[in-house]
Amino acid sequence: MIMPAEASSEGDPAQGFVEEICGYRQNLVNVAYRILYDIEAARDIVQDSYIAAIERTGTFDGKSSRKTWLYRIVINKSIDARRRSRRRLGLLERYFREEVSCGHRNPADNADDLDLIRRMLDKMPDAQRIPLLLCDIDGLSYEEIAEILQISLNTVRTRIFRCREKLRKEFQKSGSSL
Amino acid sequence: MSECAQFKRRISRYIDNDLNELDKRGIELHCASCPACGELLASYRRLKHHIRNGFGPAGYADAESDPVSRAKVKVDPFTSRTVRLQLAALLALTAILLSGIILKVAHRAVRPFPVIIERESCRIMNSPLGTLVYYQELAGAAVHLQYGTIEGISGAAYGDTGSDGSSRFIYESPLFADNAYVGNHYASIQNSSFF
Repeated sequence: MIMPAEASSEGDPAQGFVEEICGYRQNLVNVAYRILYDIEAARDIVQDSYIAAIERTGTFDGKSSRKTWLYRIVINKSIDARRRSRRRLGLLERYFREEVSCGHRNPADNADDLDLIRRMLDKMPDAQRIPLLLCDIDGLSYEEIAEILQISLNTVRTRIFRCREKLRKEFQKSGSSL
Repeated sequence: MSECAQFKRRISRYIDNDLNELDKRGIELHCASCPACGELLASYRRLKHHIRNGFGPAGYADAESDPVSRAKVKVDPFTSRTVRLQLAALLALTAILLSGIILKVAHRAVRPFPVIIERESCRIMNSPLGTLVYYQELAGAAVHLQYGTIEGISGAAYGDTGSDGSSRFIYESPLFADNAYVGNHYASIQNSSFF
């Protein structure tokens, strides 16, 4: 049985491509947000990434999946955007602004622990932080993360492990227990 | 201890489901017999849980479903680009409408449109070129509206009373000095004693 979306995808490859990438929108916005901590900027980045993806459709080699390809575009653009925005707004100021507005907490978790993790994650280099977030939050496999970040599988394993281990040790130092 | 050090990295992979079945079984057996590695496994799991629930779909960093982000947008609606564009379009439309209304009112204030009771077209013999007169109905009476600048004559250039009692006053008018009405038109009014 062919669903309408599949039928249109088969009939028009460009339309199928647009439908496919639009399906990842929320995940992509979330990824961009975790790098930028700015929902409007994250949405803009995803929008720009879609345009870039559509423009570069012809250059997509098919070696990786479109999903990982899109993730890569979004992550690269987000990192660039954050680098630019850091010039305008200090990360510290941004952090405190988020702290003030961050009223939502999962009641099952200790709010102090979450704050601590958040602060620690902010201090981590992107090279370690992004693989861990893609793994723990987006539930992506190591293979997918390797494709997205264009690094080897072993590098993904190492970076996630190091980031996790650093967080654990920082927790111990702070006197909190996981 | 060195054996445990080797397990650390594997434990991290274990909780991410990156091990084959054999290695998974090995980790489970080791953690069951080694309190330190058992505790490490539990710590990694709790950390993953914190990150996923604290910053993931159910919590803080899920931008699209994050109550904090939604609240921020509500508090400061002007940060939304869509809202800003809509607001700008609304303001532009309002400005255009207001300027149109102002121009219309100003135009009316300067030049009220005359209500011509009757206008006829004919060649008037022995009259100066360009003759026209207007009347406006005001409070039931016919009021001569305009013959401000009269060129070549002063007062009525031509006037008569028709068999039907209509009074005709013909003046040269600057209003139609530049078009084909010049010299060809005049207005009349019925039974007017105004003039």
